Amino acid sequence: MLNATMQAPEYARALQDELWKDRERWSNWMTEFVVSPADPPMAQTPKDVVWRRGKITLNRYRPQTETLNPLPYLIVPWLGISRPYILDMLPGYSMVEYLVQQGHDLYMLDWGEIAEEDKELGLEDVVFKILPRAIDEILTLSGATHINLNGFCLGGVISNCYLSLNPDAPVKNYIAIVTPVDFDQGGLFKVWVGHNEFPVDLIVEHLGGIPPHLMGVGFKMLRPAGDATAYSGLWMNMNKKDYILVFKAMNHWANDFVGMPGRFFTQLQKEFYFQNKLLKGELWLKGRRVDLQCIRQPMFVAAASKDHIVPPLAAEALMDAVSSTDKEYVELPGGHISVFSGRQAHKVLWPRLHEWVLARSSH
Amino acid sequence: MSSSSSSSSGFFELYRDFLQQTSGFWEQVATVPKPPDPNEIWKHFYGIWTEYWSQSFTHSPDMFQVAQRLWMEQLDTTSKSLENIMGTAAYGVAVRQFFQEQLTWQERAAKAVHPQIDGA
Repeated sequence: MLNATMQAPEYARALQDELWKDRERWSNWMTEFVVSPADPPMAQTPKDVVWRRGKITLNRYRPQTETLNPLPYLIVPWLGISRPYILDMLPGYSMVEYLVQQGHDLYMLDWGEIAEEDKELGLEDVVFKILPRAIDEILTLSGATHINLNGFCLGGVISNCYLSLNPDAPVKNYIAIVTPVDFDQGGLFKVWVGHNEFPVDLIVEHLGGIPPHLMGVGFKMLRPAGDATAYSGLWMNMNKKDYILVFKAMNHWANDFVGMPGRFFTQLQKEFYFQNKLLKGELWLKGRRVDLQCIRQPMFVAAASKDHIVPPLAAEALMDAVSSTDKEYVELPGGHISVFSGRQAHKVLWPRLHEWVLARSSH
Repeated sequence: MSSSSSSSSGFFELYRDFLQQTSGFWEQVATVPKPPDPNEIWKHFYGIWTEYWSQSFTHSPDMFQVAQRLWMEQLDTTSKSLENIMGTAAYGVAVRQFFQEQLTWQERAAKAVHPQIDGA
């Protein structure tokens, strides 16, 4: 079976190396998945709950530097789908930890475990009630007059709506990471749900929203070989202890889905995926038109080149939709999550983001 | 060394052909007007796949590393091919129909088991 051109010693060495790695792999598999199968604890950066409304909480991370950036930094994560603790995955692999260690007075909203009783929670609630009150609380606690606002994915959509409806919002700088704006470029989700015949009302009537298991099926379908790729990668790197640690954390989070409220999902399907109203300037909330042109803050937009959920074109559209003159768009290598929480994020996105914010954070 | 580089070159040509074959294969599967027999699809795909792997092991002394990389690329290609299929309008219609039928069936079943639902 071996090619005649192949050198026997080379083959023997390759085989020996591989057998040695295999020995380490099996040994690590035994210790990390059989003897000690527990996932590592995540979200370890010390924090305090400083505001609460129902199951929604606002967390403030305890400062780890002597001086703080004068502008508080608020992270608004996605609503539903999954929990935001991936932003604080593990010590050394945590965007939250990094920002705190760079001197940011960091806050993060946590929407909690969305369940059927939240079916009436809609975009109006989060845009007109939750986000403004959380920002008020931050200003009171910090004594600052403005904040840096950072939306992730659907948290960016919420932030877009909030800033559009509040041109005088106390937000100095705005950061939108993997935030969908042009939903016509929404990839497979656009094909699946962006149609007027999608039975959204039937789903919400029967299920109250999107339950966690259905959310999981939808996201797994986006990358049909995703699990096979993840486990193949694990086996190939099973001889590296730090790889296993990150894999366990990431894998735990990637299978820990939460639901999406029925009303919010209905709006997302009808107003965004089907009609793309936000980008067209046709979205109305509580009788007010949501006009992206009202966003004037300095803006940093980041997209991921291999994002299956929010393809780069869907995120980049924000650049032309706003009135900001100081704006920057970056398309970074990685997927929807790995761009801000992967093994390379601490080298690529985090420092770039920190420097951008720092340069614009003076009073 | 020269034998290694020439075998590597042959290896990548082989891989390129393989990618072209698999992509063409999935594209054909996705675009035929009538769904073909699933058994035939997988038989054909399996044939391309096994032929490629049996040949690839005869080309490079770094076959373990190369094989691992190619395996990941192969998964990626397969995933993209499936995504292409799932990105068709026909698949979108199938998803909608699935929900429609599934939920309607569930409603009927629930009413049959709990007739008081209609009376509520």
